[in-house]
Amino acid sequence: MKNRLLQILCSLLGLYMAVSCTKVDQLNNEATILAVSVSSVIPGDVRVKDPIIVENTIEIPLEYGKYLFPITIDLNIKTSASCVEVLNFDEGTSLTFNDLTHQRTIYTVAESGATYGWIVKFKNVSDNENAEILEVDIVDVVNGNNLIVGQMGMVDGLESKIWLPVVGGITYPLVFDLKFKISDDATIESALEHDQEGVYSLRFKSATEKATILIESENGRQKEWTVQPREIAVDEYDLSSSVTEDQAERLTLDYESITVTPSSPVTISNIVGDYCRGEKGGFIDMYAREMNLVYPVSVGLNIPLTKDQVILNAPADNIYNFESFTSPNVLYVQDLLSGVIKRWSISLYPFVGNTVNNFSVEQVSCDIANINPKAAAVLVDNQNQSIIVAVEKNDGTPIDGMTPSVVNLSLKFSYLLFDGTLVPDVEVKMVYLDDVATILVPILGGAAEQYWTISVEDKNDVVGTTADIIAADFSSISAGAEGVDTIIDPISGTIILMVKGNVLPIYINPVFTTSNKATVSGIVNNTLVFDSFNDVNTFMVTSEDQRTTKEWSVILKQSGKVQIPNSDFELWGTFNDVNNGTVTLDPTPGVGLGWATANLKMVGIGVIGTTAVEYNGGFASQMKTVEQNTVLKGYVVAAGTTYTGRFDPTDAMGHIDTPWEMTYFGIPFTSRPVSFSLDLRYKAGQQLKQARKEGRKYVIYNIDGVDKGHIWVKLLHWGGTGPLKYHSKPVDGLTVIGETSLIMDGGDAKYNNWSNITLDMDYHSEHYGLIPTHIAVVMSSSSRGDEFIGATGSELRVDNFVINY
Amino acid sequence: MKNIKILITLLAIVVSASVSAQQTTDGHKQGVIHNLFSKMPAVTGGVLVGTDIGGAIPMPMKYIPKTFNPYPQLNIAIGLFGEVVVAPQWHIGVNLIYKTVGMKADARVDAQKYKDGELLQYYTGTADMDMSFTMLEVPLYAKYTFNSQTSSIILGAYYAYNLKSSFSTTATKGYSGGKPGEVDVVIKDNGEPIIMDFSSSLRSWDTGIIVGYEHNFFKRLNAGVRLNIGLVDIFNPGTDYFDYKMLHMRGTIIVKYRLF
Repeated sequence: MKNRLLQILCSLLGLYMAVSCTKVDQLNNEATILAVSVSSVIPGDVRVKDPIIVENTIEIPLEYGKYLFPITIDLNIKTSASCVEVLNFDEGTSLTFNDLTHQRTIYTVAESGATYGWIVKFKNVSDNENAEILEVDIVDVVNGNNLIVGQMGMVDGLESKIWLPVVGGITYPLVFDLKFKISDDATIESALEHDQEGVYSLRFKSATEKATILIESENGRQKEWTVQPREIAVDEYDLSSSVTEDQAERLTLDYESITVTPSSPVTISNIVGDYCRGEKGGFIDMYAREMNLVYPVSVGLNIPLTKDQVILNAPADNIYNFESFTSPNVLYVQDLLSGVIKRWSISLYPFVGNTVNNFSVEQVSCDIANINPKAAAVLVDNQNQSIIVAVEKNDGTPIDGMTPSVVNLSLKFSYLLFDGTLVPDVEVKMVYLDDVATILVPILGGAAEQYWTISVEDKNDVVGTTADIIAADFSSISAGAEGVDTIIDPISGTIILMVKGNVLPIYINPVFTTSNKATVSGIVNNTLVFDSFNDVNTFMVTSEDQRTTKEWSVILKQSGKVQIPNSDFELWGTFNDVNNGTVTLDPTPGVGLGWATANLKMVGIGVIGTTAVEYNGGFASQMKTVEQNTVLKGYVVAAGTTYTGRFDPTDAMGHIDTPWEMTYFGIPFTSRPVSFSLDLRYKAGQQLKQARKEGRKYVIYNIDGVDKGHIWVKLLHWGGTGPLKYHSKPVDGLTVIGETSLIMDGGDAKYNNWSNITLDMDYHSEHYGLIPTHIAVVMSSSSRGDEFIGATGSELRVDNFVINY
Repeated sequence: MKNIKILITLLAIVVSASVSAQQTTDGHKQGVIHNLFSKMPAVTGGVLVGTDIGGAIPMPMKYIPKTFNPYPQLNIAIGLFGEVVVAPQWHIGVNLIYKTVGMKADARVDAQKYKDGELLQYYTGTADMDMSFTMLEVPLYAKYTFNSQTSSIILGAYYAYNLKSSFSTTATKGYSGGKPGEVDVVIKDNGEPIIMDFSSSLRSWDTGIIVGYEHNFFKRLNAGVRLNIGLVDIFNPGTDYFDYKMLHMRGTIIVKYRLF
């Protein structure tokens, strides 16, 4: 019986203990992915290499297909024996990726249940995404009466358009035979007819019809281009107002080197011409030495051309027919690099006058004691028949003499006429400095004479041409207010008076010191009246030569609690004086006095890297690093910026290599704050890149590292002359009194969400006594943007910049 | 400590009684015992001591994981019993037992459904389980004694009131997701485990059936085993943590000493 009891007990225990013979602790924890291969890819055009396993990441090298997302891949995965399942596929063993940055995670589960995540992502192994049409050769054109066709199309890379320039009588349809030069390793995807040599025939039924060319880069980026004839009408022929300096140079004929072929009976004596930017084309006026030209005249002309220019309608054998001197020959010159066409007119005039050459002053004398002038320069104006001789005292001081200035100048000179006649030893006398002498110059072969004027000017008696305020004294101010500092900004014509006290209205009797004897006007009773701190008093300053009049403004700022206007970044708009009409930060209270950005799109070139984004019921400023097409020098990496100061895009083409020279940091500011606060959010782009100059162009390369956002603040004291020109490089006369900065590492996730940051000022003790004159606040989506280093897509958003006192 | 003292006392009585029986019967044990029981009074009562092996298990039992290692926690159960002769060889008995039923276990589970707040989740991996029920159990049973007068079988029902109960599961390594096979959260080995404590949702009572066997060793000493099979879910009505019910299932070893 005892045995029976024991059997029962053992059975009961066994029910529990023998539920599983396998102990949980003995289950294997390993679930490793040993190998991965791709069995299929959708779309089928996508090309990938064998996946690479790096730690817990499976990288699928993407050779082609960057622009074909979403991409679905089917994976073969080999795991360790103890792995019991692989999870998180979309369907079967496939994964779908929405874009190149999309990362998926699959999980391997071990016998024990231990679970391991494996990131699956694409790695773009082809960076060549150029899908550009570089050149378009117009091989042939079918149809057209008297049609003048460019030899090359006009390539607009920004708008992805090709214009086929045609001039003259056009009859549609037109069929263009075109040969495209495209980016390396790119292909033309369009199903257009073409021959074996790659000549495409495009037929246009009308001027508005467009053909589409699809270019695909090596890595699959597709870019659609439109091709369209462009009829260059008479009123439209001159594109010079929109061409670049380089294009203008290539469109300019070397008219001074025009020669007449030996067979021609005409002798060209003088040639003048001009490119005439913005007007109706260039002109070349040739003057024949023959007075009695009998029109029509046929002249063989040799017009020198560079390798980059061509005359589209040059006459046969370069024989130009002139019906009269009022009937010019019209030439169309094409820039072979850009395809742009410009019209030139060339006229032939008979000899009608004379010109003065080799005007030589042989002696200048004066009988006034201590005045011994000498001829410094001679200006001969053949058009107005005038000669101006600059004289100067030997010691370099002005010949101010008496009033009126009796100088008793004697001028002895000689000159050479056009027909080769030398007129020697001509002498004129001038009692006063502003006397004008006359001489008679023979014209029409001596049949008549023409008056020429000769005048002198004192080279050292400089007449003021500027209208600036050099200094302002506001000490005469009404009770209850005290001017503590004055900031004069000649760029904007603004004078800021920092005022203590707030008793309004404020009356000021200013005393201005002007530049070069300029005069002040427009201040009633010489009293500036401010009914509020928002009032602006304006007045005019006129230069001594009366040629320049400039409006100046006086504004008040309460000392000590100044905030930078528009620091909540709510004001945006289009401002022609700063950005040619593209939307950007409002430069309130004026250009150079508030926030600005260097990311502007002008004349269709450039980028808009700084834009308004919605945040917290209003707007914030978003800076984004982008790739910028400089047109002439390839693509560069352009960081988005927001800063205090102004942006000067003048000669933007000349600053492609040195963009920082267009940014002028710093606005007037006189306080010593303790810190600055702002809301910010920063996300770095995926791939750090650098634009490196190779030859004439920049090429963008991937580089190692993570992008970083950057904010810095500098309080400046400007002790130099003229307006401050600060590009973040050292400047003579500029002292950094204090500074602070923040580097946002893109690898640090703490900046990925909006947060409020406070930056404490660090004042340099050695400059303790200096009062700030300017504040420079610079915020950038890529800290090394001025080296063209950054990650495309890096994004810095800021809002509510506050100066803490 | 009090329970242990009582257990030791009862064990001492059992041991001494057993020794006494061996000394007095010596070769005629069966006959002596038969004689002893033939003189048993119509109403008997006494004390009992025992222990339980088991706990709550999934029902249907197919939900018990394939890899499941239980570690029963042996605790002393003490109580009183009373039995009445209602017919030749038939007794009706009733017990009042204070006991703690505890069990720890670890298991490898697959797509174990559970609720995280209002969020339905499925857990796959290894998990530790810890349950403990301290209760007052009242079995009511009929006992049939075979002709040998030494062996009896019992069949009855029990009601138990939980004085204190706890039930928790700790996911130690694996993954959890909104659907079976979906990974939302990974519980790393030696990482932060997910602890699912269901104690507040446990039902305060339990009822079920009892089947058992008892053997009379001596005139006053009796030992037996019972199987308690719960019939109600250990969780309060309306809770649906799992796809299955959790029912009490335990074996009980009981030694009874008849006082009268």
